[in-house]
Amino acid sequence: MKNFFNKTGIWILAAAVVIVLTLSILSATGTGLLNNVAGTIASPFRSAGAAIGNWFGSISDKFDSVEALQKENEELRKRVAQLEDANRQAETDSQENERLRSLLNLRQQRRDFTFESAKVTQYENSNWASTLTLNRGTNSGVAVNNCVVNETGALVGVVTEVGVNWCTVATVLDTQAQFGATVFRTGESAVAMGDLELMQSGKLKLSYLSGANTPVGGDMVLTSGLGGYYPSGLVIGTVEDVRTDDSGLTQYAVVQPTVIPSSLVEVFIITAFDIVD
Amino acid sequence: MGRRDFVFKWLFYALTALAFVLVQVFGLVHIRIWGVHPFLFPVLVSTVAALESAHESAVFALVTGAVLDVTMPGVIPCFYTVAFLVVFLVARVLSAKVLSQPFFCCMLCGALSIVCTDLLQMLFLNSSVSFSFRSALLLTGKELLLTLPLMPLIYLPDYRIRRIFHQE
Repeated sequence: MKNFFNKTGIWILAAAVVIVLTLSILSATGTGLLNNVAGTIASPFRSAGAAIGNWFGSISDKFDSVEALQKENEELRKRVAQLEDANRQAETDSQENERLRSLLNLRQQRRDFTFESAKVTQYENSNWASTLTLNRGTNSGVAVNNCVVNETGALVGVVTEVGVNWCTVATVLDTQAQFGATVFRTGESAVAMGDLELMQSGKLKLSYLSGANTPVGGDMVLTSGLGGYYPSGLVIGTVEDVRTDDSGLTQYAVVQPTVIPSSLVEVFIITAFDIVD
Repeated sequence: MGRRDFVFKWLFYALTALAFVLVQVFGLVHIRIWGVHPFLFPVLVSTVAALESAHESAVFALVTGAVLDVTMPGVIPCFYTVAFLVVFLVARVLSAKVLSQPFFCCMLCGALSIVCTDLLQMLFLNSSVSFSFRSALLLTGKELLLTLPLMPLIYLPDYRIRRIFHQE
């Protein structure tokens, strides 16, 4: 090792310093030039790799037993019947709501979203974060802080980095992700955030609960849309448990997210939204 | 060793590393046990560092780190470059001063490379996010346990490359 530092080793360390500085400077303002170029070149390869992976996944799906599928089908039929019933009730409520709004001269409710469909091309390699790479970027109108949802409209995460034909999404489980949230039943506002410990079990944390209306298991958690940054009403997940933090002073809820990031294949990026509640 | 052999040796090392990167990216990330998946990247660098000369493996560590940094998001922009340099230094010290038997040396270097990378993750993550060190250490332990059985799979092809080119 002494020999190493005496000879060319010092040049190698100097090269390391140059690389570190270059990467840091280039990424100081949003997505770095190098990352953008590398991501743009790698994007078709990622797509190809993801397609092959999905093909292998679809092969294993074919081995599901007929009995299991029949049972699942039966359960889904029951669920469809329940939802149809709930939908009929919701339509009546909606009409009533419309009438009352016009009586009170309130603006009509509106939820307009512009979606951009995207395929997941890469999942997070490290166990310390939960991110996805998608095959859409600035050339499809994607920007940092755009929300990403699945086919049912449940929140997947938020775009954190964007290149020409790719973008990185921090999922709701990621420790860097934070969303203004509201508990649907009580209307209580809180903050949904990723937590390193809960991330390993595929869950997230609902913090800053006031304590007045403690959520209970099964309560639905939605985005609050406070501040206008993210759209309101996107389903984050359901409360599983309410715990007291290490200090013993405040409570937080453990939320089971509706989406399982590691199983996503296709998602939808909300590139623009206009909501009137 | 001739120039041609030198080029071929590092081409084989690079291809082996690429194969394991693809296994990690498209395969291992889907295999979650205790909510964690095996993590091979640091082991790729530590194994080569333990088997090859200091100068050559330093360049390998640097190039691998830089390539991963520009293609995969890390906790900081130059995370893998920094982490792999630390992994390289640890592996070199161990292989030169502590263990000379290649297999056990590579296994020990691999295990320490995971620990070093995760400690750096904690260090950099701590500046932006609050988390409990207990859960972070637990994650490191799980990651280590899951990656340990896969380390011989990296060692075997790398050791074979070394033997082929150093015997000639």
